[in-house]
Amino acid sequence: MMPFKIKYVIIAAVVLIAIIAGRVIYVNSKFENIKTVDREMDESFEYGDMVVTVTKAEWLDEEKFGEQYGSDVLMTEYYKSLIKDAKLKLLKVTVDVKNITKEGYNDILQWDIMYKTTGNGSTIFTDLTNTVNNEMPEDKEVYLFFRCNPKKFKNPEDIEYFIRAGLFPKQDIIRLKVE
Amino acid sequence: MKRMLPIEFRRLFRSYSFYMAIAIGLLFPISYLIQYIIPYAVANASGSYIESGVIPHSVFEYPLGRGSFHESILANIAPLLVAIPYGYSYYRDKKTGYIKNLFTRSEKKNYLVSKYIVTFFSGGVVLALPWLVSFIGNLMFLPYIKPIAGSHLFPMGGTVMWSELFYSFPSLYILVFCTRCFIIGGLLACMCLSATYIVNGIFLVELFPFIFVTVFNMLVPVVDTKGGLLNSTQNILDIEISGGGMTYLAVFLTMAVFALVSVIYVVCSAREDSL
Repeated sequence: MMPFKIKYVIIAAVVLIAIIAGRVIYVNSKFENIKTVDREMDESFEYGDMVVTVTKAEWLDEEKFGEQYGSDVLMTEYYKSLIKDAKLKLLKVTVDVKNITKEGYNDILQWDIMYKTTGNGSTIFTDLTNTVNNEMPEDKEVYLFFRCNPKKFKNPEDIEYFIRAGLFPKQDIIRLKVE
Repeated sequence: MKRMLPIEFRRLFRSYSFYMAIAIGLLFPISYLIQYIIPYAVANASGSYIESGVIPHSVFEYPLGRGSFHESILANIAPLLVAIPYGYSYYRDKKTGYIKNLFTRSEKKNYLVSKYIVTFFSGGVVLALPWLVSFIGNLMFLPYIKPIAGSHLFPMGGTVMWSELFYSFPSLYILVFCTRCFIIGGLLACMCLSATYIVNGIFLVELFPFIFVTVFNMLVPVVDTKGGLLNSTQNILDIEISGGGMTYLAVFLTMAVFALVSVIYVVCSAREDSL
């Protein structure tokens, strides 16, 4: 039979908890600089050499997208079926970028959209010119189009726009109000 | 009941098999810690994440089982592991006649209920502890950074079951997952009680949950062709949820199937005039 002294077990447990707690505090103290930066829409921020401002966000339906952009080329059959089958909606986000660079622009292409806590929308294409010609946009205004699940975006004000590239130590979340 | 339960718990805590099962279970998180987590901690300490502009390795990025064989083996041997601590107990009590001594002190019902509770507890602890220890191990070496949805770095899809919980209260999700393991472990261990009435021999009694689960896992894709109704134990014991196959209904029904096996123990032991 195994000796069973409850007193020693309690002492060992307390010592163990103290060691774990100490270690956890020590590890996390080394990463105190990592934090989330919350921003509102229309608030500019520096992103590398660029100055970025998210200025507008609006829902688009498939038909409107086609009318507005005449985009059979852009709206490929793949995305059409994707949006139709999954009953997704398109979200158009306008971003004003100054001092645009190729690297920075490529980073912007990686941005994600999310609802509260769940990642739930991804970029399908950016503004028309550069997507078609695979070139850098000449103007400063960049459009990002996301496919979103409207079931998850019940309250548009809860949408958070997440800048994934250049993630840490500054992780930007921009809270959008969608028209 | 008040007398029988402490007696059963004392028997459990004084058995070598209980500690042996825990030790075997802990081999997996400890080896995972050495093989993966400590190297990640070393990489964090070098500051390489700052230069590359990526997130440092964090607690919730690498829970036990993500991209490793440790969880796979643990999930496969789980039915064997949970039977080790106390699965044999009821069978042995009956065969040795020890049960008759207990009935001089307490009622039959008290003994049977106590036996079920303690067996359930033993299986639950043995199965839940590895994940809990792994989480604590992660906490000791990696920074606590809340999971970031959309970053594709964390083991949960954005729209799958419990994703809201994971991205809102990640520690709570780990505890919920450990609770799920505890319940599954407990139900699997209690299969041994029913096995006493089905098979003969202590070895077969201990092996019964493993055989049952193996057959169950083979039948799941046959019975549940569309998915979402039943889950294999490998899926249900996987902390990473990336697809839509895991549903609340599937988890509940799978647990219900395991619990149904215990009905044999309840019915047969109640019908027995003399144990």
